[in-house]
Amino acid sequence: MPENVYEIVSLGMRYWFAFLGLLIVWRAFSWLRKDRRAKHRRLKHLPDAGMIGEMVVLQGSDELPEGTVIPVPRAGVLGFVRTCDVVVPVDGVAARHVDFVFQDGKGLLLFPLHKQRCIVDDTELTHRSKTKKFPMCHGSRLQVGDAVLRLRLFAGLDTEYRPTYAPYQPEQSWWPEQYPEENQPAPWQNSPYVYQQPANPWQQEEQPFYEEQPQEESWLNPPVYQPWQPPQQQDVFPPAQPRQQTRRRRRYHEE
Amino acid sequence: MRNDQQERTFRRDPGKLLSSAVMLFYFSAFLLLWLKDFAWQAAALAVAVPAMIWLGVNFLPHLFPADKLLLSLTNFLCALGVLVLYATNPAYAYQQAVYYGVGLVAMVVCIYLVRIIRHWRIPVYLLMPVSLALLALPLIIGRETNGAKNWFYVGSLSVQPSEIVKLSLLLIISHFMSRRKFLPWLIFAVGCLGLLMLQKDLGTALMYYGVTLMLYYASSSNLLLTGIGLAGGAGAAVLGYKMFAHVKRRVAIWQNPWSDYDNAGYQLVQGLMAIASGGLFGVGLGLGSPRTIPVYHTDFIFAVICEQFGVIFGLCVLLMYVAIIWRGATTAMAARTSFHGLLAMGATLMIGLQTFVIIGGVIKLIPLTGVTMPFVSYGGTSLVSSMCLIGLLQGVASLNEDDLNEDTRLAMLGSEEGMR
Repeated sequence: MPENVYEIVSLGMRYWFAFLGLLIVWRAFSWLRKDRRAKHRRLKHLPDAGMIGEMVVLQGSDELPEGTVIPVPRAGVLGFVRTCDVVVPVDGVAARHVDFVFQDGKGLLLFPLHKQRCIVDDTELTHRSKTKKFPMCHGSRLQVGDAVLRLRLFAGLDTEYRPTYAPYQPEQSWWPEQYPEENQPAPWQNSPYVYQQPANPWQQEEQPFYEEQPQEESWLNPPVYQPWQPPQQQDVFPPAQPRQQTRRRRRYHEE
Repeated sequence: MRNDQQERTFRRDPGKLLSSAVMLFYFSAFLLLWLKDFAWQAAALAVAVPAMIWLGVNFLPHLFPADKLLLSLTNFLCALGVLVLYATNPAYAYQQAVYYGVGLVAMVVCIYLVRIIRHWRIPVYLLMPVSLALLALPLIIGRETNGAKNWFYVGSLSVQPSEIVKLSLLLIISHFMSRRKFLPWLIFAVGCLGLLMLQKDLGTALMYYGVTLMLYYASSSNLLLTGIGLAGGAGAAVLGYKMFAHVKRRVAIWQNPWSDYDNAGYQLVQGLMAIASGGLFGVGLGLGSPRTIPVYHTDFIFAVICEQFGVIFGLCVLLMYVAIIWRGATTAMAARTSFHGLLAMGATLMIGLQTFVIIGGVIKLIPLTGVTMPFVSYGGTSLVSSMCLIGLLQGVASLNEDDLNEDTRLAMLGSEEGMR
């Protein structure tokens, strides 16, 4: 093609190229915007997306009352500042207290940060501990500062089996061949107040002819003496230590 | 026959118009270049480049849940390099087209590696000595070019190992940072920076340093140590300024290129003049005199783009990089594991920082350093490593999509169980 003709064509085409460039950029940014909206819409129906479970507060503070449920992502940081993934505004919790990551086949691994400590199912962890040996599983209890949290993992996650913490409860034997004389007495059976004979399952109880109605207390019906029962063992944690309000805590309140 | 839902989805697919516009752009551009001298190569490229883009954008998503937007923009930028090189020096364009094909294959390999390998411990420990050895090779068998000794030659093939090592740098740093191990990645990064300083490849050293520091901040949020690292970097920059004569010269030229416009400042002055002569819409494709700019095909290709297509188109190219960075950051934020998040963020930062360093240098925003413009500049190693970075990003994006689909499936299963 002659050079002057090519020059005219090329000069004309530059507007076409500029138009196409602008069109491509416009479509790219509108695509980004649409994708962002679609993702928000999709995640609205999947509130647990990206989460592996939740922490239930067993012992907290005024800002984090007991029973509060905190979603737990696959990896992140636990601390009291709002930038953390799991925020625990309780005394004794550092701004960034412990890093955590969920590892398939093991559980939630905790990595306490420098000079921090936490207790997982009665095992104390520091930044020097071999923390990978103590992953948190479903039902594990975590104590950070004065807060006590229990981990609930979603079903279907692959974790290492480990018996989680549960209070000791003596089993009641019911098999007829095992009589109480052969067994060791339960601690409460050593009580000086009362000795209860376990019920014999072979002994058939008489069926009452009619159901007894509960009667109100009166001088005709004095209250029946109830033998003392030992209280059922509960989760007992060290009492919360009074703590001075530090600069960090004040900063949290200000936020 | 499609039903109504499928019909709506088909019509609303935002990728259709974008990829069509990209293909139309290259078809018309190469057709215009064909009109210039009726060379069959231009006609072949007018068919081959849109076909390659169509293949890259529409075929790859059938293999895995790929991000079509990233694919479209990356393909556009790669093909832009081929187009501009063809308009200035066709010999470079043919080689670049071959590297573009190789880059596409490398990208697919990287996507599959990210998707398949779940435990990176052994590969990372293998990569560390190999990368350091590769980076040390130019010091032994390399040749000095433009003040830096960062190339070595295998036959007629020239290799820049720092472009390959940046991939392993990202993998190693992401792996160790996600495992909260401080020392291994620090030793590796310091070793890489030391070798780059010995090669006097300060542009690449700046990128390595910036990406490492930003990734450290992203993984730890430790402002104090990041600040100390930043101060150390500033000290090293001052030291580099005092030690290397060519750095002093570049800073002086950056401050006033017109003081020595026919010698040391010639390149920068020619680049600025090319951008200015292009105006808003450019001088026209195949016209102008882009070859007067020294190294127009690598470092100063942005000046050539602005001259041929105009400043408006140059801004569009910049916005495309912004879109890629935006998409990369979104992908990193949505990643489910810290390793994948850091990997995606590192790849995004690497592309973003490289683009900023070279375009900032060309438009005299910062002192010029010798790095290539990602995807566009001539250079096989650079193009393939940039495509590999996009491959890493795509791999993480496809894993995110898989996880989200799995969440949706579980949620639907849960709701069905609840209904029962």
